Amino acid sequence: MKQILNAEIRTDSLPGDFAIWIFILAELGVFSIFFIAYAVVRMLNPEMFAEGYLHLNRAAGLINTLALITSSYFVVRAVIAIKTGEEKRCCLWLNWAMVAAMVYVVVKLWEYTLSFQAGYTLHTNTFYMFYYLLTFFHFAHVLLGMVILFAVARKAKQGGYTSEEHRGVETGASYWHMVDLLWIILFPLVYVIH
Amino acid sequence: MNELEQTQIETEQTHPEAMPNRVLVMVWLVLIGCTLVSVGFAEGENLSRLAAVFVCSIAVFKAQLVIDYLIGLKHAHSRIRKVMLGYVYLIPLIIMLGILIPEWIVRLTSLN
Repeated sequence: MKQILNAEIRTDSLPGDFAIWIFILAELGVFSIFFIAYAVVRMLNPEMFAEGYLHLNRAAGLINTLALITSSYFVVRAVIAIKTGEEKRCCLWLNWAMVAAMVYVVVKLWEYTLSFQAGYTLHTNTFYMFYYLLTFFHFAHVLLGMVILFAVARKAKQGGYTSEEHRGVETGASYWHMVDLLWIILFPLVYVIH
Repeated sequence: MNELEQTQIETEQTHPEAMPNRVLVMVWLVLIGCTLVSVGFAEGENLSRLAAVFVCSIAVFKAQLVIDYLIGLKHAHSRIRKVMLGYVYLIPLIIMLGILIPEWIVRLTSLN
């Protein structure tokens, strides 16, 4: 019986626009090159990476992980809200998601500031080159995601989405979850494994 | 039955792919808990190979939760779900291989 119910639920529909999924898969591909390159270069320079790891701000990494996970949770609530025709509640959840994302942005900027003040720049060594490139590339995606969430929240507030037509909300949500997903891999790779 | 519970039941009836709020909260708490466990491992002076593999496994588990429950692919497009799951298994697997057999990987990736 349970199998029958599951079969009925399973559909071939995608959350969001098909185009965003092409974009998401392309982005995942680009990040995979960064991840693999980071892992390989660390193997080739274990002492340099162990030394660099000691100066990383793990508290900042932890706060950012919690902020992104919480933000993703708020975005799912926004999608559920629009599916039940609650445009205002959808907008509210998206605003909370942006607040959580702003926590990430502030903490990341604080982390970069401390790192620069300590004299660690892109040119310090290979570890810092990878650290800045990987985390800043992800940071740029967070900023883009926030712009998308803002646009979706604005349209939701203006009544641009309904319980029947809410593809835009799902599209923005899918992009945001990709940003979260990438951080879930990046966080242990850079901040935990040493 | 309050308004929130009524809305929840309506959502489950009209959108069977939308998970109940209690499941969503549980997923969020598990993600938070797994993150804290991972960070607990980082506190040691030197992470053992086994612990590093465990941390990678936690990342895979978290990523699968995001794909299935937050993105909502568990009951949606199966091909995209397989591609996404393949990605979050493959990348940490490569990282794990680098931790478990670094000498072999170094030989494979250096020109000397």
